[in-house]
Amino acid sequence: MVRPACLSIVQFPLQILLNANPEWSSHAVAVVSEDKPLGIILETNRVAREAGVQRGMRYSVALTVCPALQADVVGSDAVQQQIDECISLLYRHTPHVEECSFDPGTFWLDARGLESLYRSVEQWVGALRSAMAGIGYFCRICVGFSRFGSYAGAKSATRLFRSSAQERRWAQSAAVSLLPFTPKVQQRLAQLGITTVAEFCALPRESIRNRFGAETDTVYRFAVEDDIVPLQGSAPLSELTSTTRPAAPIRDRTLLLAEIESLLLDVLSQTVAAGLYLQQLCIELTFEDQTLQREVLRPAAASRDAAVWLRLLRLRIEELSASSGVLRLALNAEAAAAPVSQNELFSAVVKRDPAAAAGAFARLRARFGNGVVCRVVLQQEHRPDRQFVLLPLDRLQLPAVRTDVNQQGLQLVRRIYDSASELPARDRLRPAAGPFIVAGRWWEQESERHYYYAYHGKRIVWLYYDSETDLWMLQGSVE
Amino acid sequence: MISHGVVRARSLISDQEAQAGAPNWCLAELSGRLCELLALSAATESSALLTAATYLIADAQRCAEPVAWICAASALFFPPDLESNGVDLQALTILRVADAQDAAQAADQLLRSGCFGLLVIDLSAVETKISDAVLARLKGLVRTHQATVLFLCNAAESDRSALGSMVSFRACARSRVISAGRFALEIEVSRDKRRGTPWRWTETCNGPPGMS
Repeated sequence: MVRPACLSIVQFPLQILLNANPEWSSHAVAVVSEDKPLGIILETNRVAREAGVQRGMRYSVALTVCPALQADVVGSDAVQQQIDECISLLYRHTPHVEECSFDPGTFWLDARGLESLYRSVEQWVGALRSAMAGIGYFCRICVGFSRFGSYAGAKSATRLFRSSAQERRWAQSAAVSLLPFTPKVQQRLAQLGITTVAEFCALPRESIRNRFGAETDTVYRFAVEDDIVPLQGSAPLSELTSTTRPAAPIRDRTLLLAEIESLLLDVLSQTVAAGLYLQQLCIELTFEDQTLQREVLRPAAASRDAAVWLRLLRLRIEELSASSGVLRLALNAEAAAAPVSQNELFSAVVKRDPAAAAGAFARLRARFGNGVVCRVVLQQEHRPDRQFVLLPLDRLQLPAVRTDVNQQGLQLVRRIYDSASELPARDRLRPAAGPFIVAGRWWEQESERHYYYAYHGKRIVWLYYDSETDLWMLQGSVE
Repeated sequence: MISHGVVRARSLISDQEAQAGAPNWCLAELSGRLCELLALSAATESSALLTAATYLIADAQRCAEPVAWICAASALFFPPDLESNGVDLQALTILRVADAQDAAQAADQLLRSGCFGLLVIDLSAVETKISDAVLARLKGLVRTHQATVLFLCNAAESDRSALGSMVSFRACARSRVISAGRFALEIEVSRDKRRGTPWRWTETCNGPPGMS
C-alpha cells in the first residue's frame, strides 16, 4: 500500500532567513520580494504580525507600521541550497524523497516498510522532526495515502490519516488558504467566497489559467488530478536545458512536435554524456501573445529511453490547445543518477541461448560438412603440433570465469600451421631464441626437433630443425 | 518522424555511451559493429593479429559472451597460448572453412542464431573477397543481436582496407620489442565511425614461452 508522507517546512524562506540571522529571532522579521521600498512582504514572523505587518504589504508600508522590522530577500540559490541539504538529510530516513515543484520546503517521503526500523509510523515521524530540528527547521509531517491529501494535512498540523476516505474528507474540507497561493490570488478567491479546497476544486478547469495564472493552474491540477505516479527520488539532481527560437511562430502541432523532439534528443544526449537518467521534463512554450505554458512530463521511472519520452510527449502535445503560434521552446530536464536496477534494465547485455546455436551448427554441418564445427581439446604432449586436437562440437558451452589465468599478463600468441613447410632459405633469418629440444616418441623411432624463434625482418617466425631429415621446417609465426 | 527520431536517439545514445570513456580495445567498444583488424604484409612490421584477437576473446568471455573463431586458412592459433591468455577453450567454437565467402556464410548463420557475442573471422591467409551485399547483411545482423564481427586480414599498407567502406572500425595490430622478452602490443585505429577520430591503444605483453 502506498503511504506518502508530506513534510512541510513551515514558512521555509522565513526560517532560512532566521537561521542565517539568529540574532533576529526576538525581532519583527519579514521576507521581502526585493530589498526596495516597493518590495512585497512575502513572509512574516509572529512579532511582525502582532505589530501589524501583513503578507502582500509593500516594504515601505511595513516599515511605517513597524519601524523595527528586519527584512531581507531570500534568493532562489539560497533556497535551493537549503533544499539540497534537507534532501540529503531526509534520505537517511526514507528510500525516496520527492521535492514539491511549486512549494519550496515541501517534500514527499516514502513511509512504507519503515515500521521494523522505527517500531511505528509515529516514531518515524518523531525521528524526522527531530532530525529537521537539528538543522534548524520546524516542520509538519502528515502520513497519508495521496500526495495532495498528505500535503493538505501537513499544511495545518502533524497528523496521521488512518484511511484514504478520512484523508479525502479532511482534504476537501481544508481551508483554501493552506494552498500556496500568492496574496493576490488569496484575495481574489476570498472575494469569490471560496474558502475550502472542495469549493476551489469545483471551479471550471478552463477558467483557472485565464483568471488566476499558470501557477494557480498548477496547484489546481495537483488538487484535482489523480495521484497515480509513484514517488520519485530527487537527489542528486542535475538541470539540463535545451532551448530553440523558431524562425517563424509554430502553429502546426506536427511541426511543434518535431521541434520538441529535436530538443529532446539534445537533452538525452546530455544525460548520456553525464551518465544520468531523465526524471522529469518541463516543456516551456512561449506564445505570440507572450503567454507562457509549462507542461511537465514524468515517466513511471527515470529513463533515457527516447521511445518512452516521445510517447509521453506525443500524448501531451495532442492535448495541447494553443490559440497562437509558439515563439520559443525550452526543455528543462531534471536528471538523476539511476539506481543499479535501472542500469540493469537498460543494460546492453543480451541473453544468449546456447540451444539456438545447435540449430545453426546443424545448418553449418549440412552446408560445409560434418567436421566444420569443432572445439579444441588440449593434450599432454611435448611436440607443439600434438598439444591439441580438434573435436566435433554439437552443443555450445557458455564461457566459464577463469581463475587460473596467467598472472604475468598478456602473452604473444603463436600461429601454428596445419602441416609444417620446409624453409626455402635461412639467410634472411636472425635468431631470436632457441634451440628448445623436443624429443619425439622414441618408441615410434621419432627424431628430436630443435625449435627456434627467429626474426624475418621484424616478423617473428617459429621454426624447427628436424635431426632425422636434416631439414629446417616452418612451424608457424608469432602474431 | 517519431520513429525516425527514436532510431536516431538510440544510435546517438549507444554511440555516446561508447564515447563516454577513453577508447579501449574491448568488446564494449566494438559491440554491434563490423570490425577489420589488419596486419601489414610488409616484413617491416610485426603482426599482432592473433594477440589482439585473443585479448578481445578473453574480454568477451569475461562478459559471458560466447565466441566463435572462423578460420579460412590452413593454420590456426596455437591453443595453449590462448589458454594462458585466459581464454576458455571449451567455450570457443571453431569453424574451419575453405575461403572468405564460406567464412561469411558461416558467420551469417551463427549471427542469425543470436547466440554469439563475438565472431573472429581469420582471413589473413586467403584472398579477402566478400561482396558489399554480404557485408551489409552481416552489419544488420551484428546490430540486431548486439554482436561483434572481427575480420583478421592482411593489407599492403596501413591505410588500405581489405573489406572496403562497410566496416565501421578499422585498425592495424602490431607488436614491438621493448626489452628482452617484453613486447608492446599496439592497435592503431584509422577508422572509427563512432568516435570519428583515429586513436591508439597499447598494452605490454610477454613473448611466447621461450622468448620471455
